Amino acid sequence: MARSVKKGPYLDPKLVSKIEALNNTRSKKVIKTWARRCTIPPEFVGHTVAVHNGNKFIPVFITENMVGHKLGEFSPTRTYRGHSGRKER
Amino acid sequence: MMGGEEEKKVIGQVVRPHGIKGEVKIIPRIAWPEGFHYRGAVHLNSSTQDGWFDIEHGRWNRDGAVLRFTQVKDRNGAEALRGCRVSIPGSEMPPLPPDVYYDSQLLGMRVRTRSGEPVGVIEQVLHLPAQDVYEIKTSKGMVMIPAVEAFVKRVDLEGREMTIEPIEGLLESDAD
Repeated sequence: MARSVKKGPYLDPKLVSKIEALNNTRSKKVIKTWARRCTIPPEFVGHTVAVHNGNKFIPVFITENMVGHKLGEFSPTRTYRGHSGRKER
Repeated sequence: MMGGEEEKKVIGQVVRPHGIKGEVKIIPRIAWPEGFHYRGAVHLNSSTQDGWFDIEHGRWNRDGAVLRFTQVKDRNGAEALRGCRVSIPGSEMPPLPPDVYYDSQLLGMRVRTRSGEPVGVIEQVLHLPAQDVYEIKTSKGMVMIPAVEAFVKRVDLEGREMTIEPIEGLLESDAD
């Protein structure tokens, strides 16, 4: 079920405040985060966020077409290595 | 049919037979499959197959290519090719647009910052949903750099060297 429009998108407050600080100082820095459920607002565009995938941080350079998606969508948690039955070496 | 000793490049893999007339479905393993227009002979290799096959007919079907080979006439023959890696001679690799590279061209490439400081060597190219990411082996461990213009400033294929402009925190490994 979709999230209520009244609430607006979920934004991680700590992450947003860090990005705002970078925007105010016009600086660029990689920000590590575990907030995979955080929606990407337009303010994030041009920044690099290292999103944890349960194992390591994956650096994600935010572009315009990612706005509205969640950070976790860009940091896959699984690696498909094929099925064992038909593996060819 | 070709049989030279020229270096071969893997461009895809046979995933399954297609229909009953000996066609096979091939999923491309190259970064720019739209540029794949090869219509010569391909080398198929697996634990049971090893040889050159002439392409009789080929077409695109959703996410991959469907090829028919002169040497394969029925579904049983196509079944035997399941799982084969598909290679072509290195010199026949399809051309790429500017600033697009094959993984094999980047692997092992030295990475330096704009100031000339050595960073490490590209160990792996990860194809992730957001963008490709270069995994670089440094003296402190593995670091990852998104393959975007903001960071990758120059790629010198001849000199096997990449110049990057990292921002704060980009060259920190997970162990830091």
